[in-house]
Amino acid sequence: MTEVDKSTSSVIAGDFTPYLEAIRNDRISFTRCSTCQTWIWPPTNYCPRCKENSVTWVTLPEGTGGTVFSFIIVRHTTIPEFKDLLPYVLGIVSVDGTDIRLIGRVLCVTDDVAIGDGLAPSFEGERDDPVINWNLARQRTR
Amino acid sequence: MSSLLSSSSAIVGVGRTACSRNSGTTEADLALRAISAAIVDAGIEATDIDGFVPYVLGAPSEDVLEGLGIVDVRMAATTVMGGAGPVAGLKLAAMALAAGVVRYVVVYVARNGASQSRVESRAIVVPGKTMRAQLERPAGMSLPVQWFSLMARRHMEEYGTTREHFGEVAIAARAFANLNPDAQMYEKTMTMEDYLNSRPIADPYHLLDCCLESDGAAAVILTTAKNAEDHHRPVYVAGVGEGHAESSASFVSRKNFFDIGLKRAAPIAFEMAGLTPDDMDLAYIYDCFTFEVIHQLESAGFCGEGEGGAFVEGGRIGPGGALPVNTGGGLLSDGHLAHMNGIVEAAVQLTGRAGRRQVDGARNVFLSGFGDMGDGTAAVLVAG
Repeated sequence: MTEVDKSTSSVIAGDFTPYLEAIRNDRISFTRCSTCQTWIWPPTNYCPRCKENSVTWVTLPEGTGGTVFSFIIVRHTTIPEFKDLLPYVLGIVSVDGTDIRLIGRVLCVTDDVAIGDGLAPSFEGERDDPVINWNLARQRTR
Repeated sequence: MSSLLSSSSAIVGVGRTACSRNSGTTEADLALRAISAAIVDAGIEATDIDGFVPYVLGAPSEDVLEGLGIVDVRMAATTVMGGAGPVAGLKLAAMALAAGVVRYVVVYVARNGASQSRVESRAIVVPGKTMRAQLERPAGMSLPVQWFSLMARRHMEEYGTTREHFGEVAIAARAFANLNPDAQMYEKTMTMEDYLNSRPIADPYHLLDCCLESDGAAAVILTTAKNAEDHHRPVYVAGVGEGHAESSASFVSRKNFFDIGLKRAAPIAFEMAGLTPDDMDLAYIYDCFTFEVIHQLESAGFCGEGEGGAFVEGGRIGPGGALPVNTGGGLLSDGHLAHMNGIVEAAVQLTGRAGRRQVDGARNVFLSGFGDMGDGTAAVLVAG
């Protein structure tokens, strides 16, 4: 039986700590196969394409933005600290330069957002649970 | 490809309780009522049952064995696939029966899903718990209606699907529920205007896009095709299939955003049965939300991707339509028993016992299951 060699990879399956730490530094960090460059999300140490433990954390360039892939207007929430924010916009954000999409709050008036709109990250790294919110950066031609 | 499983087992008894907001009793009691009704329907003794397939939530087999007087249990097993579980239970039962492990199997769901365990508590039993807790909840997402509405919105954008299409699904389910005395919404009618004006929850989804939270129980008893000859109304399990999506933990990053396990599960079930979507008289689709009916009709091959909105237009899936869907009212209007009530309803239709909502001449039905953000199951049932 082949032992999985964890020494070659710093990525631990299902451990988002480096992603959360990156947010504290106003950056986005994802995992990618260092051999075939395939983006892997959620993090795991094994590349399903290369069949190797070749996955590493990669920090995206400063200024990396995203695009609205889908969105909803939340008018009912069960999370106490979000009740005062209603209604708010939640989006699926395609992160530029990757194949990875994130769930994120879009900080805008609910009528303003559309699929295809460009977004810029707003890092909330001071919180106990660091999170990336998104601001509208460029609106798709309506 | 022929299969050892094809029509090697049959449903020979069904039972259920009504769905309600508050059963006023325990989950074990609900389970005993549904299973006992199925035992009577099958014309067997409780002690004939030696296989138990309970749902992942609700009353487990340990809670009902004593009440049924059963000690000789040779298989008690649960598939952990959320809402894909009950249809997966048919497959598990068929496998265990074909292998000679058991003689009679009961597959059941018994839950106080409205009065006790609400939807929030279910959000923590889905895959990718860390991602849900560390990435999504801090962003403000915590409810299935939010995940599913994000999918619906994308379909609207890509394919021009409209809220009126979703309304067709909601209204069809309600019209059937109005013919089903066991349905939670038996007495409440719904018009398109009611649908469009219902309270927004996670726009584009409004209240009437969402399935119900329900108390209730439903059960089916299966045995081998050989044993089934002794029963007067067998419903054969002609085909069963299971499939999984590209990624469940990060469903939003799937390359094909609309890819779900059903896309792989349905062809397996159809091929095993030697039938196609065109051969189906009825369909029972896992309708946790309205768009999911459109999504799954596409994924199962009843129409192409993007064509589901047009497919449901004009009352096509309602009473008297070309392909009646969820004739008992579905999760949307009968109640959320994880589609176990849909399996019961399918068998009731195939044995001609559906009363005012009976679809004449129904011979072949398709069932889908969908759970844990991408797990898919499919079954084809054929009247004996």
